[in-house]
Amino acid sequence: MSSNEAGSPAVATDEIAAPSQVSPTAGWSHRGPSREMLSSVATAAAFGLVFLVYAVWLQGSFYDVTRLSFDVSRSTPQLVLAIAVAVCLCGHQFDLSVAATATAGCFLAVGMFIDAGLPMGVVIVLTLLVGAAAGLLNGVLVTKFRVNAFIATLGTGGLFAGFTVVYSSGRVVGPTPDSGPLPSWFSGAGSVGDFQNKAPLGVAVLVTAAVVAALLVSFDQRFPGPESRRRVQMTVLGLVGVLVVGAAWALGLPAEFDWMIVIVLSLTLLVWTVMKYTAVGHAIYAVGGNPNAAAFAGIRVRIISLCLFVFSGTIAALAGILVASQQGSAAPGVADPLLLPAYAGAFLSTVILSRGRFHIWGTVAGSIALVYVTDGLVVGGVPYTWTQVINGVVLIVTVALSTFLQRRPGA
Amino acid sequence: MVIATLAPDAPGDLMIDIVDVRKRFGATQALRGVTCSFSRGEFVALLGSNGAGKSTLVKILDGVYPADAGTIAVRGGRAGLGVVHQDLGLVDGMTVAENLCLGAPRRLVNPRAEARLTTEALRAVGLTSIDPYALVSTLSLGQRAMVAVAKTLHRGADTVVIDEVTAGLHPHEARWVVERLRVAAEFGATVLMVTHKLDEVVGAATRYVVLSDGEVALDEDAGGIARADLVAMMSRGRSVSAPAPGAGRVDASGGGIVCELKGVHAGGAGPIDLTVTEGRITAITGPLGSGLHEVAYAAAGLLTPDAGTVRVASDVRRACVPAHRESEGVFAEHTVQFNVAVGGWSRWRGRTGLLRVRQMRRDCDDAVAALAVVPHRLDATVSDLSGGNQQKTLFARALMRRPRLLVLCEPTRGVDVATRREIYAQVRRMADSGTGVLMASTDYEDIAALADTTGVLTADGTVSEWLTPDRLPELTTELA
Repeated sequence: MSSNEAGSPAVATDEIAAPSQVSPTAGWSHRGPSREMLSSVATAAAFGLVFLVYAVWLQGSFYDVTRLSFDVSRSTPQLVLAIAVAVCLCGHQFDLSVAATATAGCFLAVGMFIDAGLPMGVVIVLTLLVGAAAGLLNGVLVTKFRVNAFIATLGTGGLFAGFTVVYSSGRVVGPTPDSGPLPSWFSGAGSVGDFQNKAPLGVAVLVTAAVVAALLVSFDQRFPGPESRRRVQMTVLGLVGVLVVGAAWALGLPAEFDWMIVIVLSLTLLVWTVMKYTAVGHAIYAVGGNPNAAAFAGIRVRIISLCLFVFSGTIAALAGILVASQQGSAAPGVADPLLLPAYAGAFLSTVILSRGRFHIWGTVAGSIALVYVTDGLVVGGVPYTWTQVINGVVLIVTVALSTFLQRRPGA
Repeated sequence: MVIATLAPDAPGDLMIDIVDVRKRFGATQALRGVTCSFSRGEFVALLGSNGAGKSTLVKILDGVYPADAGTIAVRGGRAGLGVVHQDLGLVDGMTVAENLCLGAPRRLVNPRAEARLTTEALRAVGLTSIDPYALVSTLSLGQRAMVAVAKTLHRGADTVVIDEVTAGLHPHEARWVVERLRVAAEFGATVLMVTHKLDEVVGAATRYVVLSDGEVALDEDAGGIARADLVAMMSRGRSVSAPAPGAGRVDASGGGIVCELKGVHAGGAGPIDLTVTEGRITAITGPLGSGLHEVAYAAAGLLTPDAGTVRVASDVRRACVPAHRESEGVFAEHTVQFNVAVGGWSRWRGRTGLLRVRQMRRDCDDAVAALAVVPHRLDATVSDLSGGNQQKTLFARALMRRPRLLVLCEPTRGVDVATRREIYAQVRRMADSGTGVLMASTDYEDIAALADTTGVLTADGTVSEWLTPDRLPELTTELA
């Protein structure tokens, strides 16, 4: 047997090894909570260290609330794609076509308004529907025809990208004098896509409060504490929440929220709620954990997988609409470079305050951290062209670090 | 204790010398001092019922566990002994030759030379019909088993231990494997075949060793023993198992029919007719691979039968504990709570469509407490639990549904004695509260402890007759 071949020297020699007394119950105490905590905090600590270095190195030019908010606002399509990818990964499915779907969504949003003259509201609905149909195609290929998800979505991604090239003949599609401009609420100065056009303060504070509340609720459920001290814990958490929201207000954070940030935070809240508090979300995790066991537990695995692709296609189309809103035009391959950072953000969620599982807040936090790391270097003088290199390095280093720390002793 | 090299002055054909090997797991003394030795060219059948200590002995020989006491000496040291497990350790997508030479030290791969070596290695175990260039996936299961044996011997082992390799095979194919093994033994290898199916090895083995309760109960040459004596010896441990607690209520019929199977064909079994009634435990048993689990899954609604009908009233909630805990049961990386709640979320869905998380946690906690899962922590990752506690987690999930039809497949596989009793008690309680239970098990103890009526699947896939508990001793060696 090959396992015998690899026998350790202790087995091969006649040396008397002390019988290691392993009681059956001792098995799970091997991986102490300290090690688990260490690995889950490692990534967060690594990012903290990077931002500390930035603080010393760049000072005010990096730590500027307006600038940091602007970064998030600019990378909204990337965050949205990361959410689409993360949900798929929760159900152990890959969708590599999201970036191409987003590009196609961008072209549809601009093209249908300019060339077909449809009202913008209808255009948005139609674009989302096309995204859903694209996802359905992926889902049918994977669940019905049993094509490997990697290949299927790589292929359909090429297909969608190809259609955009054919449609645009490789040129930028944008408003022409004949068609008139895109609606003023959709694109341009003072529109949804304009960072200078802030969301009303009330909405911004509401979203901030909702996000803080969601995080505290997550924390509360992860570490519920004894029943006798529930009231104390609730009070403490409530106070912390109020303090955090107050601090954010004092820093002027909600005042910097534009509509893009509001959209991405609302989407995150919605998806997180679905994943955490509905049967569908739990079923997705079950299918991702062990599809066979999920089927035995009475979950319709194929329907769930199909829904995952439909969801990611729809959300990818939404990302495309956001790109169109930000840029006011559609350039060939405009969303294609977002694929790597989207996956990077989703994979970072497995190592940020997590036990190796994909989750939504981690995805958004990881994506934003990725944006900031890159941006800090750009502020510090590294050419913007290095962005992809930095993204790749950050992804590999952080995931490797956490996985290395997470490794069980002896494994 | 490690496996020592046999002293050079040992008798000429002695290959393995096991002296007074003991092993304890927690409160269970798995081996109480096993002493035996094996010589060159022997084909030994190592027999015994479940829990007799066969697999513990094999794992000690394989170096998986250290023994607590005693010595094992092997001619040629550690490398002189190879173990072939049920999963065989072959790569399906590679050729026979590639598998044989996999991991062997070499600089460059020379397919021709490897094929030549492979042909020789296969001939050494009396196989001439296998093409070294064939993909392993194209071979029959029996052929694969023999390739694994040839591989082990090719690696320089003189003694090969075959651990339950024939368990999933069709009887004809198992017989073929046993014949090849006999040839390999005649060619000079020492073959130690671990099995619980006596009929497979009768007539082929040159010697029988029967383990019972961690001791050698019998060790005799094939010439000197009759089959009936072996049967008696193997089932000796069984007479101590308590009679079914519900044995008295066998004729207490009158409960409504919960589920009815008519002419069902599933997984090679069929046609099967059976009914599950309220408050009774209906069992089916038979060899592995006979399709008994598939029949149970069909009753649970998890599998569409190839033919026949499964009739279940629409208001009957069904729950199932699947046969393979790791692959079909648990979500290893998730928490105990997730594993208990999975699939049953509808009962916690509030009016808004969101789950009532606190209620869910409380209910899961109650379920886990009722079955005494250790550790009692809902946030523990399930893979950190012992096999028995993982099994209890699956029971908690099934019981959470408050089923009227409970389908159990191998309810006590890989579970220690104490947990086994708890599970039996729980199943009996369920039945007493009016649940119809259908149990598919290859484990005699399950049947003896629980079944109110037992159907035995034969090799041709049908139930020959239904046995009442008092006739159960007739099932002995046919069962795992």
